[in-house]
Amino acid sequence: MSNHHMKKHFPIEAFKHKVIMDPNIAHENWKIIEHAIHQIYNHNANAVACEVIYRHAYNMVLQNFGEKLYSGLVATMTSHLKEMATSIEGTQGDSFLEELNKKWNHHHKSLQMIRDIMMYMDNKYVPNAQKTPVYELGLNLWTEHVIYSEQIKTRLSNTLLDLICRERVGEDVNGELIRNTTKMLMDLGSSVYEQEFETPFLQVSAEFYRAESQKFIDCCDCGDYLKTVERCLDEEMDRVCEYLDPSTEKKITNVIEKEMIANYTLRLIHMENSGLLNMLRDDKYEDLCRMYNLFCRVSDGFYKIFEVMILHVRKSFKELITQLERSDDPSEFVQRLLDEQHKYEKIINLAFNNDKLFQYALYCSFEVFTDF
Amino acid sequence: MKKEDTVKLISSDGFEFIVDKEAAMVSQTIRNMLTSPGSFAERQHGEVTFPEISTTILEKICQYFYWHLEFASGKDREFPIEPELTLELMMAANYLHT
Repeated sequence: MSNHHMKKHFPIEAFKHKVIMDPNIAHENWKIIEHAIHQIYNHNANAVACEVIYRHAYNMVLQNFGEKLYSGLVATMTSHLKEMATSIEGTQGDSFLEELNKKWNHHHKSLQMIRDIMMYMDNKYVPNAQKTPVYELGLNLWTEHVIYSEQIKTRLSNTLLDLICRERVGEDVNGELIRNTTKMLMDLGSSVYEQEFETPFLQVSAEFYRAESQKFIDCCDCGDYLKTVERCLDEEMDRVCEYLDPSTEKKITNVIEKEMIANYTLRLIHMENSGLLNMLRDDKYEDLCRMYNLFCRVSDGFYKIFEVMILHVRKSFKELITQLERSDDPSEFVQRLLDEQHKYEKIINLAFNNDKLFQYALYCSFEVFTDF
Repeated sequence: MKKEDTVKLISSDGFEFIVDKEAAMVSQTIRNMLTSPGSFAERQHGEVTFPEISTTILEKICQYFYWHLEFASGKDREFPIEPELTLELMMAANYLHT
């Protein structure tokens, strides 16, 4: 807002309210604010006149009592959070997560209201005194006094992991509850989410899929095993969509790739009666495609397929030529060689995504032998 | 103006100014009071009382709200302020985060 030039001399009036605040008044102000915070936490916010509290907080900051206001806020929120923690700790069995979420929602809502009435302090006192802003402060206090409370910390991780384990063996679990909980952890900070949930989750998942793969590799043929791997990957993708944070997708996928694919690539390729060579011989396009896609995800996977296949192709070309060299019919010779080349071209096309490396290797192999 | 779109601002002398919510929310402070997740008393009754703001100042503030909605984007208009009001107006603007 800008000024016009003065037209007349005007008296400057004293401020309507006291300019200097004495500590007793500051204390009274604080008491009023403290009471309002209690009201908010006790589900009584509509008894609070926002303007009144805002003005009291404003006056405290204006009169240099910002420190008292801020530390009072910390103490009051902390005492409410400790009460909430006790209530959560006292729950039995399945109602633990429900109560945790209920209290979180209430605290979160109260926190936003408190932030709104403390806006003046947030804007003027907090940056100057280099304190944490109100909203972030509220999150940190919740983390400190509830999430990290001795009796809640491990119980929270264990409850979440237990639910997921139960779901993996076919039980129906409350996905929404898990979703709200993981969302809360992310709101508190990605490091909280990682420490309290994601890292143990990945560990437990690795153990689970290690055991699963051992179980299946012993009783499945190659094609079926690969189908199982695909199914597991899909399941975990669904899980991420349903109640985990998107950032976990890549990590859980890596776990499955390591436990179910990387550990077994050679064994699968060379599996008797169902491995790579059998698939090539029988033109099992779908199985080959699945193997190609899954193996490409792991570091050596592609090259192991590549190596085995190209060696096989060369060997079979060589055998073909040796056989047909003894034959008297050159046209049959050419035809069969062309058929063989065509067979592998089709495989590369339908199953290996027209992979350039494969195409080139096939072309080279063919070239060598047609120089005869 | 529809009732639901308006809010009542009351000065220290009891003078009531009925303004559009959109205008009142030019003040960040008033915006918070009206849009806070819980329902404070003000939102319930659709009115905010300012015991520390006089009628003259509050009237000027309300004028400013509408001026802001219309002219703030351009730079060619100045908001007219009588010099004797300047100090109190600045204090109020600071208070209302406007």
